[in-house]
Amino acid sequence: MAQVFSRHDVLWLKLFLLALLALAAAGVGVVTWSMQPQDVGGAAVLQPVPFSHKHHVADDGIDCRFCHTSVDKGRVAGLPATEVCMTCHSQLFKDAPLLQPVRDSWASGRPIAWARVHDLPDFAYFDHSIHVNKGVACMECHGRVDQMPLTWRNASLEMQWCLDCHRNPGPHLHRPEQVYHMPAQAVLTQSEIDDLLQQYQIADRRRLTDCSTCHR
Amino acid sequence: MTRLLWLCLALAALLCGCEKAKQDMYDQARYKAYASSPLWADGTSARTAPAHTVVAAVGDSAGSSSGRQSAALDTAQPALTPALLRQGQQRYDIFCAPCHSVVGDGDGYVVRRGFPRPQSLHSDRLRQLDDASLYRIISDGYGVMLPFASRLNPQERWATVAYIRALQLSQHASVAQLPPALRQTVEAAR
Ligand code: HEC
Ligand code: HEC
Ligand code: HEC
Ligand code: HEC
Ligand code: HEC
Ligand code: HEC
Repeated sequence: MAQVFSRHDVLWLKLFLLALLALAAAGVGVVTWSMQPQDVGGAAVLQPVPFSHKHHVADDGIDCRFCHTSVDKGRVAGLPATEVCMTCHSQLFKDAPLLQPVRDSWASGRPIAWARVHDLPDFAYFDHSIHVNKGVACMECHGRVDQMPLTWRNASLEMQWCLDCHRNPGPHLHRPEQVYHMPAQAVLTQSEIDDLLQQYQIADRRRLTDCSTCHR
Repeated sequence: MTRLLWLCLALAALLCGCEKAKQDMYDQARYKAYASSPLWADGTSARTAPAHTVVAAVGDSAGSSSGRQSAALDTAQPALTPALLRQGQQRYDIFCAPCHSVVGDGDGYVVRRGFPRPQSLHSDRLRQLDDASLYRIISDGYGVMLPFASRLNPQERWATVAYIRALQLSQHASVAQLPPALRQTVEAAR
């Protein structure tokens, strides 16, 4: 049978096929890259008022629940209403320009538009109260909030991250009085962990890793 | 032919993977708590009751009691129990201690940073104030102190009142009121 392509053409054909392969590989690369979590956290989020947890929590010793009132009662921790800021700032820093948006909001009744730092996908179900009331401290998920001049995200919030703890929650548990505290507690011994698991009546691993626990 | 069909099906299944890049189930067309909304003048999706609404049913079973669980019942003073005191202590330490201090003398952190200093809760005047007035001060505020009605529910307000009574007693008890065992230790120490 006569040769269909000349030697010259074969070279081009080979190059073309190689390019196709490289393009496909690059395509897969780009798609994988675009599916990475947008940012793993660690970057401070700009807010309408430069609210500092460092000042309010570490320096002034205000409890999380003063502002995040519903964290131990319901799904959402809740962001403070303007009234909460005004409890103190109706007197303190009364005229500071930094706090002008707070005073405007107080006068007009329009809430302050805090930018979200955490945002789970809408198909995942999360509940604060069960975690907090069963000894998972704020610090386990949000990091050292008391050292953040502006708030940033500490964890990736990926499914893998939730599961890592749900498979073996023991080492992440804290005593009830430690849940809202920020400095790390002394490392618990295995028998203390067992006591806590029993005290909180932690559900078995199967229940905690069932798809329907978080996708309902 | 069927082979081609299967191949197409398998390729179509791969489309599921696109969700992670497309993200339209990540942000579904519904409001999450505290989401903003252009629909209302105040810019928030959280709606409050219209002005002059008369509350008929409140509390945990309001939704299911069709008004039988009345507001009056919910705000009645609960009986004094150790659990109530513990709840009161917790709420006091969170919401009052920043200004009134954990012991109630009015030397909290926020006061040290320049907030007007409240009177000590251990003054004769405040010891004689009745429970209902204390409850009203927490609900409606007092002078420069803003109301706490939106942050403490009626049960929590009564618990706080009970704990303030315990704080006051801790600084103003006579030896004769102590249980016998404690009295002996105190008298021995004299
Ligand atoms: C004086 C009030 C106040 C106190 C006390 C306080 N917070 Fe906050 N918190 C805020 C405000 C206001 C925001 C919104 C602005 C921001 O993100 O920085 C916020 C935001 C946050 C966020 C990010 C929310 C998001 O957008 O996803 C986390 C997490 C958080 N706080 C945790 C804590 C923890 C943990 C404590 C206790 C150690 C605490 N906060 C104590 C007022 C407070
Ligand atoms: C319990 C009292 C209290 C509450 C509630 C409170 N603050 Fe403050 N705030 C303070 C004190 C005290 C300071 C001074 C901090 C310092 O110098 O240590 C301060 C300082 C500030 C400052 C000045 C800059 C800085 O960080 O020092 C800003 C801005 C501020 N607060 C914003 C807010 C906002 C927004 C809220 C409502 C979410 C709020 N605060 C609620 C007590 C409070
Ligand atoms: C088990 C992990 C975990 C623990 C423990 C935890 N959080 Fe969160 N927190 C989250 C996640 C996940 C979100 C994002 C929720 C969403 O986007 O729906 C979040 C969101 C928040 C927000 C934003 C508002 C909201 O509710 O969506 C605040 C404020 C907050 N957390 C405060 C706290 C405080 C205060 C504590 C401790 C008392 C705490 N969290 C403990 C995981 C945790
Ligand atoms: C640091 C540990 C930890 C992390 C991280 C964590 N959890 Fe949990 N979670 C727990 C513990 C402990 C419980 C309580 C188990 C029980 O009910 O006994 C729990 C319970 C739950 C429940 C209630 C289960 C039930 O019984 O109904 C849900 C829903 C949940 N977690 C969702 C999540 C999601 C979603 C994430 C990730 C965004 C997450 N959790 C991250 C420790 C964790
Ligand atoms: C502990 C809670 C939890 C459990 C249990 C859980 N998921 Fe998830 N899942 C999540 C969270 C949170 C996300 C969102 C991750 C993100 O931000 O992309 C998620 C995301 C997903 C996604 C979207 C793709 C991705 O990776 O983001 C799929 C698909 C999924 N889960 C399937 C499952 C299946 C199937 C199971 C049961 C075997 C399961 N999940 C069990 C919390 C959970
Ligand atoms: C932001 C600081 C602050 C917080 C938080 C606060 N108070 Fe006050 N409180 C004050 C000040 C200041 C006064 C004095 C008001 C005046 O005289 O104008 C006061 C007055 C009072 C009085 C009346 C005292 C009198 O002289 O008759 C009572 C009772 C009281 N507070 C109880 C509470 C309770 C209970 C809480 C917690 C739920 C609380 N306060 C939280 C600052 C605060």
